[in-house]
Amino acid sequence: MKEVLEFSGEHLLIGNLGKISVYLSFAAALFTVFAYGFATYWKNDQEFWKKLGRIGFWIHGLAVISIFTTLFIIIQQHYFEYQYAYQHSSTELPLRFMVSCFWEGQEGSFLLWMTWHVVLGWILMYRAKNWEAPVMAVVALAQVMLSTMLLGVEIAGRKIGSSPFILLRDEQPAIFQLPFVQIRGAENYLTGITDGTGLNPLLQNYWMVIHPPTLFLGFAAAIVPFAYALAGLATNRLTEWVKPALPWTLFGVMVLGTGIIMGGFWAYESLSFGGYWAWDPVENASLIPWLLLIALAHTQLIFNKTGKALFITYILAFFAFILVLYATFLTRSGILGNTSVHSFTDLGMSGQLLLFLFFFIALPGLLAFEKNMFRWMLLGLGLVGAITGMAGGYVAWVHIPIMVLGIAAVFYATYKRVPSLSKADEDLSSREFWMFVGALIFVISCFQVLLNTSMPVWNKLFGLDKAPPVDVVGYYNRWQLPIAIILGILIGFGQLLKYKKTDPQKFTVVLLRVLLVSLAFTIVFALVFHLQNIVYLAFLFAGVFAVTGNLWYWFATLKGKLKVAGGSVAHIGFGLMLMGILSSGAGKEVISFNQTGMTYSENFSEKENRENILLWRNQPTLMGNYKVTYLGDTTIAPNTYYKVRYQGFDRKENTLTGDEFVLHPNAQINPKMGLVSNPDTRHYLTHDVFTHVTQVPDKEGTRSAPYEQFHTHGIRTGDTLRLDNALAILMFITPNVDKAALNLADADHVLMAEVKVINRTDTLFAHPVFALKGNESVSVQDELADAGLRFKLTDIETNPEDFSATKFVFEIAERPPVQDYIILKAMVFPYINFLWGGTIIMVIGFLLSILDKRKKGGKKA
Amino acid sequence: MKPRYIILIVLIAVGIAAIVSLYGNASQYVTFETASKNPGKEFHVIGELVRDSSMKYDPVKDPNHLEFYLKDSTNAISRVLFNSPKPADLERSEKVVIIGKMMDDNTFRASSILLKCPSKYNEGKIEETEYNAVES
Repeated sequence: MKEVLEFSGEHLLIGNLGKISVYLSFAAALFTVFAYGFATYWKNDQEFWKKLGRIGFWIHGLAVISIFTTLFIIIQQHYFEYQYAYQHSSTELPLRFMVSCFWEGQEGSFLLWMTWHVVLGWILMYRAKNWEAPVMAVVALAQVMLSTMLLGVEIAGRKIGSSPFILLRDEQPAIFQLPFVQIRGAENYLTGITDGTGLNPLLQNYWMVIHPPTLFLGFAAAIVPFAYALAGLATNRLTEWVKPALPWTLFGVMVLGTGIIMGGFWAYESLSFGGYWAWDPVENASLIPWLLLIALAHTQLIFNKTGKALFITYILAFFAFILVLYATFLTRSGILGNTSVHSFTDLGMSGQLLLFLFFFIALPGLLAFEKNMFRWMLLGLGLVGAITGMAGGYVAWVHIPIMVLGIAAVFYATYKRVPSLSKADEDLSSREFWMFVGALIFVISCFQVLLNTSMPVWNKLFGLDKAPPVDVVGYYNRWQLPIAIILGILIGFGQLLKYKKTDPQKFTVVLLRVLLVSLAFTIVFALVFHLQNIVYLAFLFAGVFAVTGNLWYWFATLKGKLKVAGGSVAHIGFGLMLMGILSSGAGKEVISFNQTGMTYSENFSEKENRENILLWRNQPTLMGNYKVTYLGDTTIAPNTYYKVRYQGFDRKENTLTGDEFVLHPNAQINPKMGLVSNPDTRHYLTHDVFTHVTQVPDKEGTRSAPYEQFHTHGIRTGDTLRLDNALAILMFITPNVDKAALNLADADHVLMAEVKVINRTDTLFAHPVFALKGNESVSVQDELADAGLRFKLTDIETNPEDFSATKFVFEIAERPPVQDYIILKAMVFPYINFLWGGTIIMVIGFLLSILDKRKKGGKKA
Repeated sequence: MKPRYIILIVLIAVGIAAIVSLYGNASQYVTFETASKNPGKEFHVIGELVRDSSMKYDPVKDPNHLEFYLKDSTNAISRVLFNSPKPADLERSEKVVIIGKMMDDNTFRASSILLKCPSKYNEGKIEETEYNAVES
């Protein structure tokens, strides 16, 4: 590369501003940790240090917002000299999707996470009252960690973090070898880089604009209970933190849950696998902390009401956050490799991520141990793990014992430190006992997902070469289905019990009534959903029972008051979700069964492998209760939309029902990604009809194919020619021709033929022309490009005796016609609205709960 | 016995069951040779597409029938059947992971295909896409 001092057209100022903001955010976060740390431990100057901490966090927060803004300007202004803009955006991208560019890259998602921490931190700073110093110290600590992810500096040959403000020319010096740069000179390299490589088409979706921020807000919220638990240990207020932290836990459950279901809805609306959940490692990574947060919210409630379950509350608060970090490690370190379709590539930060993971596992132990000796031992252990992690990645014989010891230390230290307020035995008739069991079942559910998703980690650690189970979805379902059944039943009767002790007689009466009502409704829904399988029936019962039990409690005990019914409403939502999962999952039906090609693959009779059907344009096909016709395509670059008409069809009566709609599934033939197909779905109240295109013919390829030789055919009017791919009928010959239009104004005689062409999909007309200029004959050919036909009228053999026997001589050339068909897959999802509706109700329930608990927490704090 | 101990024992038992079940259900990355020795058992095979004219896919005849040849890491070649439409980027894949079983006629019946293609969005890096024949 030539030495050039100035490159024209670059906007370096804004990138430098961004970089400085990153450094500032890092330094300010570090400062805040110390200031709030001193405020926690030095009682004398507490107010002074607290003030400094606030200043530090304000500076940090503003710096983060400055990073956010500069990066957004770079993307929005198309400054392609920056790698981030070049890699994740393009000029044709509408503004609403520019936000998505932000979180397509790793740096952007770390930044998003940081920004949410800042927002939550600002609220905590003024709301946490006497918890402010220790809680904010932990939040700031997390910010130190996250800001190093964006540093992008090299220390002793190791890259720390990855800056989003890297210049394209620094990252890919190969651009200086490009021909146009050689011609125009290196200083003008930017004149040739006029567009970015663009955003992944799958992310160009409305849901992808709001799903990641919601998810990350949920992740970010997990730090609050974690910080409160640590604050409890640090200030020796071992029990008081549980109450003020509860609304935050509920907030985390609500937002993370919303984020997860939004991801599911996005997958359902715009991915072609046909469903909303595939147990993909990246989906699981967001589910894992959510399950623990739910468990945590329940144990916090138990503690608030009865003083029990404090130890497990601590453990759950620690690990909900640690698992957020672990999930980040899984998805961002590239370790998932073979097992996930989501492509997060390794930015070389796995060592760094591992280091922070170790640090945050050690932190609760450090604060919980009361003896300094233990603290030093734990610190030493962490240091060994950190150094080996940074140096060489995964070293089994070092990391396994460190991990096990570190986690054991957290359990042991917390167990020793935390007081046991209630020594009494568990009463099986108490609500808290069954809530506790429910919380543990969420932990089991979490453990199973965690264990399986971590398969690549086990492979690395133990040197194995195991692949995920062949039927991943089936495997997960075998475990999670029974878990969901137990949860549904617990939810159903849990609320009917009282805290501490329940009168067995009253409970039995109510339970029997609820059971009877549930059974009746289970039978009704089993008939509506067409269920027979015993496991499905049990699952249905669990869902119905959960709904009925909580409705009963809400109206009989709470007298239908909404303010205090948060828990009941959330539980009702959960029960409805279970019903929706069942009805749409068990009742999902592929209607696009293929009937052709049986001879080709007769040795495979399983019908599940014939799920794609070929539809010729304009040829109606019966699918399920619909008559389906592919009507043609329209291209609105870069997508091609395929118009598919559905007409309701009554198979018994053999008539159309009058119900009619048109779906527009689209496909993008992406030059580098192949066929990217987006489904289209017709939503009914009771079911969805889901359609997506799985294969389309290469029309452009056949349109540019060469013709074979002309063949001569002599025919009379009304004759039919059987060509390779069509029938051609000579309709009539006429002298009425617009001569001028054909440049034949000086011709003596002009005749035009009308040839009707019928092929598989269309009826078309060709009009070849024959002319005589003196003794010279001219023929003007006509082409039907899509039908692959060229017609020439070259001679007329008149028969003087019988004029009707006059033969017209055609020369016809053929090539394969453009095949206008689509291959599609169509499915019906019955009653999926139970799932979406249940989710919304659950979120409302959490919201009510948060409002209620906040009021109660506020009164006492 | 106190309920808390019963709970603890059940918890540990279920945890161990989850580990054992995962170990037992996990599939393996193997070569065609191993797959042939265990016909009917499902495996993951990683290989490269054999790039000649041996790939058969004629959607007009049968849109759910794809046939191609795959070369595994030991350079052993096997015929692969996939009863689904052809993944559009099969030809440009660098690596193909097929999940399925060897049949008696020495044909590998894939239920799922995972493609690793040169990525557009991360220049020089590999990207994956998954295709499934069997809906579950």
